[in-house]
Amino acid sequence: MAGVGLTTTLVFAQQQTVKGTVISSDDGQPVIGATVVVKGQTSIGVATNLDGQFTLNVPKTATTLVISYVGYKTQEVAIRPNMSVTLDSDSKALDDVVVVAYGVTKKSAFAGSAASVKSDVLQNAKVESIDKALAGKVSGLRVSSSTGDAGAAGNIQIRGIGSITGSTAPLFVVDGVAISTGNLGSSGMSSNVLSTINPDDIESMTVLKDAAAASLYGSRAANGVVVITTKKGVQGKTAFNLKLNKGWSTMATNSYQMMNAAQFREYFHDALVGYYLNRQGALLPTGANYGNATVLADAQKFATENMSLSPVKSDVDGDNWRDQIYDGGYQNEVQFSASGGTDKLRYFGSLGVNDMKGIVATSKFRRYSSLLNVENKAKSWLDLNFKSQISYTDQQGRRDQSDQAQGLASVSPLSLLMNALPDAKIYNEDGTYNESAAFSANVGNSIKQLSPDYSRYSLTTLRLMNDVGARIKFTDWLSFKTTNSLDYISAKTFQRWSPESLDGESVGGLGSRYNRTVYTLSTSNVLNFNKIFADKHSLDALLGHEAQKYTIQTESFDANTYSNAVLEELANGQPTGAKSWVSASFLRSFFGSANYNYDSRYYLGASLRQDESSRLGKNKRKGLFYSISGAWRFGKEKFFANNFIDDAKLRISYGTNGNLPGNFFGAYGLYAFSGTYGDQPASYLSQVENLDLSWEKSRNFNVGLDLNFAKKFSLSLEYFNKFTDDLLLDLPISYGVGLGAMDKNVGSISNRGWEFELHGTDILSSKLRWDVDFSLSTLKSRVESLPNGDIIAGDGNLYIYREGEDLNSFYLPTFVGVEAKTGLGQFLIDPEKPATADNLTYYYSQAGRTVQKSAYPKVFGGLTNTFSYQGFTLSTLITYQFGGYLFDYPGYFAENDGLRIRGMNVSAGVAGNYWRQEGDAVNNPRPVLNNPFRSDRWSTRHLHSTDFVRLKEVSLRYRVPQQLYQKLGISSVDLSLVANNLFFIHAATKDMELEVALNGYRTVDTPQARTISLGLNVGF
Amino acid sequence: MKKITLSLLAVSALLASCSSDLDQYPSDQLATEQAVTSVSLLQTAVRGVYTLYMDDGNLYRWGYAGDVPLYGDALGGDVYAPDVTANHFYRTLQLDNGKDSDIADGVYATFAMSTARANSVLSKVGSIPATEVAANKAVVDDLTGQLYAIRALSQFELTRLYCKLPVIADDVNAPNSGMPLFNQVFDANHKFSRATLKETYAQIIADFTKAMTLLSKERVTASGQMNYWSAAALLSRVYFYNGDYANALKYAEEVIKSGKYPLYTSSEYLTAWAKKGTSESLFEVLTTDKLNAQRNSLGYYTSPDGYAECAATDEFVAFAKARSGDVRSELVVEKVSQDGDFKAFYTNKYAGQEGASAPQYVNNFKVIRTSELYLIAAESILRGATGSKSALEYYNELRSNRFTNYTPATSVSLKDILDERRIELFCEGHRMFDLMRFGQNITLPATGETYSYKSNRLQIAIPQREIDIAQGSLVQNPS
Repeated sequence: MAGVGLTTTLVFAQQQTVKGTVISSDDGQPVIGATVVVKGQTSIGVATNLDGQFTLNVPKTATTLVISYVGYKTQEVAIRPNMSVTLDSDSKALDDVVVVAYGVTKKSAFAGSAASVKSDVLQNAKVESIDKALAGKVSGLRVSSSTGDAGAAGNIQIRGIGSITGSTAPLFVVDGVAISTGNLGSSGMSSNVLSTINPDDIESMTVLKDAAAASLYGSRAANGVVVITTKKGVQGKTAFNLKLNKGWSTMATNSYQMMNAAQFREYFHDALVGYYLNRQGALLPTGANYGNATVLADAQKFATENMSLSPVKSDVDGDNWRDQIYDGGYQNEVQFSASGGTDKLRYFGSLGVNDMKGIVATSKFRRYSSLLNVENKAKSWLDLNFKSQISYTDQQGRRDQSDQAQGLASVSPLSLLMNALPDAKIYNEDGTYNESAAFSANVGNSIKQLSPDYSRYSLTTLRLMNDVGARIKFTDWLSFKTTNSLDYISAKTFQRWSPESLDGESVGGLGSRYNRTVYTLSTSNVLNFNKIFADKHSLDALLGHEAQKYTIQTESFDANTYSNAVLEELANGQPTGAKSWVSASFLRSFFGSANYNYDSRYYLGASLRQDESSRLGKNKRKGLFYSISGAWRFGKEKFFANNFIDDAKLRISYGTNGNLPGNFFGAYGLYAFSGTYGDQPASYLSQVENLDLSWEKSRNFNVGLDLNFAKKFSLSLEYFNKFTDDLLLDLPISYGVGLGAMDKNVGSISNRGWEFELHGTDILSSKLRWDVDFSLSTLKSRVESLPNGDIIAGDGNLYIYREGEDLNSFYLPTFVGVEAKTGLGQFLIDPEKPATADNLTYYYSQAGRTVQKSAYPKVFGGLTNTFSYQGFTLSTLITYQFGGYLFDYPGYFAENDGLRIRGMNVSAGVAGNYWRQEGDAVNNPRPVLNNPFRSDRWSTRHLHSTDFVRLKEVSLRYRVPQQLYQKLGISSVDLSLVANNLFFIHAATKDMELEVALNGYRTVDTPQARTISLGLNVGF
Repeated sequence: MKKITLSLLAVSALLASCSSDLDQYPSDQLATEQAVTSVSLLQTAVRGVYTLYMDDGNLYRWGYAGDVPLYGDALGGDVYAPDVTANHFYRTLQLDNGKDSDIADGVYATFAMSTARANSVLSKVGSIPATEVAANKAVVDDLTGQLYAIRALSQFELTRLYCKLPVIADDVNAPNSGMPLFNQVFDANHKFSRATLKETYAQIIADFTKAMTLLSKERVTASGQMNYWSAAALLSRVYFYNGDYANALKYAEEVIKSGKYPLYTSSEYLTAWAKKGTSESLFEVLTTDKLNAQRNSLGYYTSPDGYAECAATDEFVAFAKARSGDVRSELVVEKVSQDGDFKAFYTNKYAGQEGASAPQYVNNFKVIRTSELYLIAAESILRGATGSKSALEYYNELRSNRFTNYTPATSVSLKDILDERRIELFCEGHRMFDLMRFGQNITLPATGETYSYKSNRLQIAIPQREIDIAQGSLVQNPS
């Protein structure tokens, strides 16, 4: 046999050398490790190197090469001496390439937990920022915003709630650079920094969830990491793309319905009855006149005679104020991009305009953005890359409640709706505003007050993200990569109250400017090692250094007493204040990692990072974070050869991460100099020193099973357990020390849960293609230890943190319900005891508080179905969640049991659902004008289930057949119709937006919108 | 290759920067060790202690804003709330002063923190260069004296609001009958415990006495800062509460005799309240249009167009109006809101400072004034102390400045003094303490209940948070 082999080799000894490069059509990047073999002779083959290049000696007789790589469609190409092969990605492939910390890897070779979301999937969300677009698309990840206003701040949490007082947001890394995120709004209007990034410029996003994936980012990665890759140039002739979108939006839910005129007047009448009975001692069973028929008759008479007190004078409805205030919005979008290049120089350039109006008149958002990515192969050993990502956003709105501080601003849309008289018309017959159309004479007319001429907030943001990077290749297996970046953000808030406006009247008009400049300088320098030994031993390793300096500079100016009502700038008023301050923080890091695999079956990985941060106490500045991981791809074992299961892997990881304090200077003992006594400056002890201030540390355990089966399906099941201790808490200290609290590292929490994903690709294998993606996550977030006792926090001390209880647990009195006999609301006096007669009270002030339901859903996920048929693609996303609760802050106003009815309207849900006579089984107590019981105050009455199943996204795309436009030089035409937030398939609580802030606080802000958009995408 | 590699490394190295970047400091705050390093910084820091008495972010309500100056009236039975829905001062009126109440927390926070601020600054006077101290000895002494005086006043306010008055205490030497002694800089983890009432008052007296050795005797109008005379006057009140009438009289007479703070005349009396730095004002807390307690202020509580939560009871009105010729009864005025609600008699002491743009918010509360010293002097003599004048002389001297066409009284009793205090010091926080000293029980209009002058309900409870933090070492008041 040996002789035959030798002979064979000799016979085909006449060889030719073939060289080539394999790149990905996705991003124009070289495909590393692609397999290149001669067709029919798979023993002759090679893998591409770090630059996607291969050199192969093939027999002269060979004509075709087969090039394959996991995640890409296998391609056969004719042999030429210098080849350039572009592999098309198989986006539904079972083995995707995933972008991970400081590089890329194959999913099959990855022992950590990460999920990748591609550009087209993000596009369907039709939201202005990339974080909000992730909703329902990644297991274990939750996204929300307290307001539906475009540009407003959003929240994102990966695998639960990572902290009590610290940040729970993940780290965002764009093209290798950690960027600043968060809320840059001020003066009460929130603004999401991530909305400066055009989702259209994003190639892919990867969510790193466990320690193996994220530990390499050290002290900022405890809440996970979102790694974003922007679009890069693709080699070839310039490809242009033009995308047009037009959308319309309305309120997605039937939120904020108010009583009509007749309903209100009936309610008001009943409240007068209640008022009279209360005065006569006839409301409570203990009252002297309780049940006295004469008094009851007198009460009816009193109410009828005093209906003139009702702000609503007629039973006949006026205009529909809700429809006029939440009058619907639009979205206009134009995106243009060009991409192309040679093997030496590739580029991607784009220009985008997004113009959105929210569903209220006051809310607008506009973004102009551009991206330029240039990559240059300067030398055979040197690659350079340059990025310039620039955007300008203009967000218009009103003060929102994203800070969850109490209060219903008098010019907020909801407040104006509640203030509108249901029997009033908006306009007089002569077209002028009806000035007596509101409960409050000061408001006069809600639509008028909504005008930006009276009150407006705007925030313009200019952001530049510029990167310069280079890769030096020393050998095939050793290279050095440097990435250097400047991220500059200038966020300017302008707040204006006209002298004729509700808020501005008393101060003669107000103008305020608040300018923040944030600049982040980063450098990252990494040495990469990548080599396969003796065919089966593969080792890749890296060693790196990073430094980042973050500076934020703030200036604020205020003026009032304006000389006129037309000109807005501060020059037209009298200056009242000027302030400025600067803060900076610095982070320096060293890190390394190594991943080894044997025969693509056994995997072992480890990482180590040391971070040093200026935000920490001098004794605790350095922190070491590590991870170890392993995987066994038992599907490749011979003994496992199986017709049904194509591939199978078991993986496990453990490691540590950190969370830095939000306060840059929390460790120092300080005196503040901003005080005043009389009209003289004053200084005072403002912070107690803590040299031991350190990061929050989390220990992550993850175990997962991946199965690919029946050639079409992939399944993954994971369990995670994240334990976080040394929580950064603002811990109470005795006032005798000089302050109420100081930052300390105390206490621990845990987040654990299961994640299940199932993907089916081309399930039917027919002309009708059906793909399915399903995810289900469970979560248990718990307070593990709080040595200093409970922490009661939030607006109105709404939340409690107590050992053994869920995070985001509500801490409220228990509302038992409406007593059928009296019609009054009842509370438990001692909420730990049963509702016996002596443990019930009508008075809120006598009700005790206890730990109630918690906010976060215990089960959540999404289901995407995609059907394709002859150019048509229909995709639907259904999201769901179960087990969570919200606190209905608007309900505190709108269900006020007669307390506020001289000042505002009542929720329509109360009509027909409040007590009117003995025996009524209803949800709302009888109304009493000036209600002395205060059954409206915060209790479990305002807690509602957030269980839902929602048709979140529906998109229909059609690729117009090429023959129709090929002659015009057009390469593709796509039409799309996308709908978002269409309806709840199931909603536990009706007429309410259930996707509220992640801590379950329903604000008084504008709820989510339902949008319908039409799109045209032309490639040429 | 080298050139390019080197230039790349140079860029990276420049961005990586040096380790000094790991030391970042705020731009609007100084490290404690740098905060008080000159005489002018000391002056700034001393003002920073006073700020707690009026405005400090969330705590503004609990300094000399509204509830604290009026606490003795709220629980003295002479005021009630025409509007019971606003629920601010009304809560104080309802005796909402338990361990979890806002007032328990807020008052403790304000006055304990002011002692801590004073202690912090006192500990740093030594970091001013010795030559600078020597060159400004009088100024440094005066500022140091103010810190002792503030510490004494804050300790005193806490003690009289959270503990029994020594004159009616069963046992001033009972363990935990006083307050923690806030007399030094404490470690952040310090577990406080309470001294006896006697020890606590000894601390207060020692601090005022020490302050008087340092403070300037110069009168500075409307400075909002204490001087020698403020400390002497407050010390007089402290002794008075202790039943040490000889010393109470001694310090009252010292101030009276100095002539620096003469009584208002009867014509001045009605207008003095809208002015800053009036003749009787020994120490007043500064408020301005920018810095004030807004709706939780004296003016807002005592106005029908404000919260309308502090008006004179019918009984008090009858008492006041029966005093013919007494200008003070003219200061109790019937008012009604613009909407016609909450018609009642309100004190006009806090109608607002002249020139203020939101007058209801701006009133410098007079922590102590000369009239009180006359009344202390007269009562102390009646209770056995020997003065340079008779009780009747002090009594008549005060009244001759309060009545039009005054006919001097020929005798004066303790009951007369109590009545005189009731009208003179109405809405200045004295009534409850006076009734206690006189052993009279108190009926509160808001609850309709009568409380013994020794009732434990009249003292504010130690805030639960402090008890929790102290982990067993701090003892709650008897319930």
